[in-house]
Amino acid sequence: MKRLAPLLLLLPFLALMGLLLWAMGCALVQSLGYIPAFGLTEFTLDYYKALFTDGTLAASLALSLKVAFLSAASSTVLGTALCAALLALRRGRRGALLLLRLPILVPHTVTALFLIVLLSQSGLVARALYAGGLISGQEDFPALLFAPGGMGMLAAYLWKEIPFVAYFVAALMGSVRDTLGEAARNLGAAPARAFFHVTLPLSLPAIGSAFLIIFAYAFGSYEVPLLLGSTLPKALPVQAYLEYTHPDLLHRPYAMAMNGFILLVSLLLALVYAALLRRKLNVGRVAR
Amino acid sequence: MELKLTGVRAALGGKEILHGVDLTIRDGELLALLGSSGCGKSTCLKTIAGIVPLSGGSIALGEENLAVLPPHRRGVVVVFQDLRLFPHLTAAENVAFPLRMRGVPRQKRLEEAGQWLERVQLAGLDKRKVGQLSGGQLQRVALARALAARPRVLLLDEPFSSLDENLREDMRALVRSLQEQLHMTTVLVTHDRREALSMAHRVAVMFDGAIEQCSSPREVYAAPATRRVADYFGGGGYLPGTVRDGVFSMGELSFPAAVPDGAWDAFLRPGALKPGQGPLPLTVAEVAFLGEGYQTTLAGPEGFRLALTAPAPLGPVGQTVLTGVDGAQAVLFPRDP
Repeated sequence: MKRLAPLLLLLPFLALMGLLLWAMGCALVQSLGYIPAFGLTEFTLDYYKALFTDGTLAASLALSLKVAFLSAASSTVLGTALCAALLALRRGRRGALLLLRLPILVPHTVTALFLIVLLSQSGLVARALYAGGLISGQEDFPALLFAPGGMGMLAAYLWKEIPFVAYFVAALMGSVRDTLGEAARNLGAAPARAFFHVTLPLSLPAIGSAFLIIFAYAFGSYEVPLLLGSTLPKALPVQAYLEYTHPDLLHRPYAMAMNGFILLVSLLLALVYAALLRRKLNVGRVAR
Repeated sequence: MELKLTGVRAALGGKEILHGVDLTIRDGELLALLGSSGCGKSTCLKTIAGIVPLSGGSIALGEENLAVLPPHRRGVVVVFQDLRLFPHLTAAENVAFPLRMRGVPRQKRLEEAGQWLERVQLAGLDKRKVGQLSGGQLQRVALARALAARPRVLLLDEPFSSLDENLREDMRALVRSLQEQLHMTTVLVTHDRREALSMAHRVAVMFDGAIEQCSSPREVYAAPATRRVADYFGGGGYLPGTVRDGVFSMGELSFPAAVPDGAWDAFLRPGALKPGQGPLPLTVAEVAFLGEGYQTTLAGPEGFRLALTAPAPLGPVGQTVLTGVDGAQAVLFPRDP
């Protein structure tokens, strides 16, 4: 009984994991074109191929990859810079870090709605410009949101993720700065050189992890592209949902192939993340 | 160059730690800053290095006012207690770091780093990463890195505290000889009495954020300026007595004392006692075998206790030993009211 107890306690978790894996397995099998109920009984990679060859689907994939990469890269760079600036504050470091948590706590949906209210062609900024006589009509205000380039999504991700990166990196960067960065300055490094030669390289594991988290989130997120994305092309998750709810049930495997691809990318990112985490732990051990 | 601290005040987190430190470190001198943990000695070091901002007083190096310089321009280098070697660099790259900051070309600085590593007896370990070195080796790399910066003043913040006793002895000898060869003005922060007495030219004893006494190791030990300094070195006892007309007396015991009349305590170290040669009756309270000899603890009036080491015990426990006192070795402190 004693040996069984841990297993019994784990049972709810295992049951949930089992359910998740079962669903994922089903989705993967369906993405390979095997859904006997719809008369699809032959395994094929055609639906995955379509992701890269079909015009609409390929455009979706390209858009998702582009927005995910751009938002992850720019929030990582800007967030790291923000973090470095906050840590250099002589006073109010803790208060500033608390303030950073506000945009992190706001849900992505709310951020998207907030951007629509603020930046759409009939939004508050456009109205203020109109009232000030700077534009003569709503069509004069640039269509930042809902544009095919994904600017609206990028803006939402930046607003949320720059503070996230700063907050996420602050713990490691703060401790490196206060010990090894201090030692570097003591050995004759001006503050900027101490940052680039010591603090930044030793904070890279956290910075890399932040990049991966944002990339994975932006790549798989549904609500931000739904609310702020263009009509065409649509981001991969939005397109996948459309295919899933398509009246023609034979579209189902396309939806599942898209999910399968998102899953594959997420899995790869998770593996890299795990590798980075191990490195971060090692750095922490040596640096004491 | 001479380093001069005048009325130095510094605070950490709103709490004043240094309450006006006055201290002069002579050119080429090794000065030990001795004190128990929390007395402010590390803060004092960090204030000199510019890591902790000065809130009052002045720090001068030669004719130059150090306090107005940012940390990286002071030429004052610390070997930190936790060493703070850069884990992403090799041993040689760590040592070459200050040279790199000064713009020395790569080949030349790695060569020089190799020479410094040789001087701390780590020849051939240039390419090792920090994670592949032992505790004693890390210590040497940190020392080499600090010296490679060619500091005007070297500050050592309890750098040997994490080593075991044998390695610590080696490091002390190494630091002492390098300090001598380089004629480097050095401050060694430590709480270890023996380390301070054996290594330093002068010892500054610190209590509650101020210097209580600063003089040669012999003088700090033999002629403590205050009871706190006397107690910090330990191994002594207080005999209560009175002084009249320049003579200290207690019962049958008396010796000349150049202090005003009144109630005084005579602080005695073991060397001042002459068992079997005087009028002071002390009782053997404890005998312990130490290997090289026996330690006999003698007890007297008002909690007086003093341990003497001799080849043989001074007597069985409970026996009275009539003891003399060398008055020249006694240090008198006015009795607390």
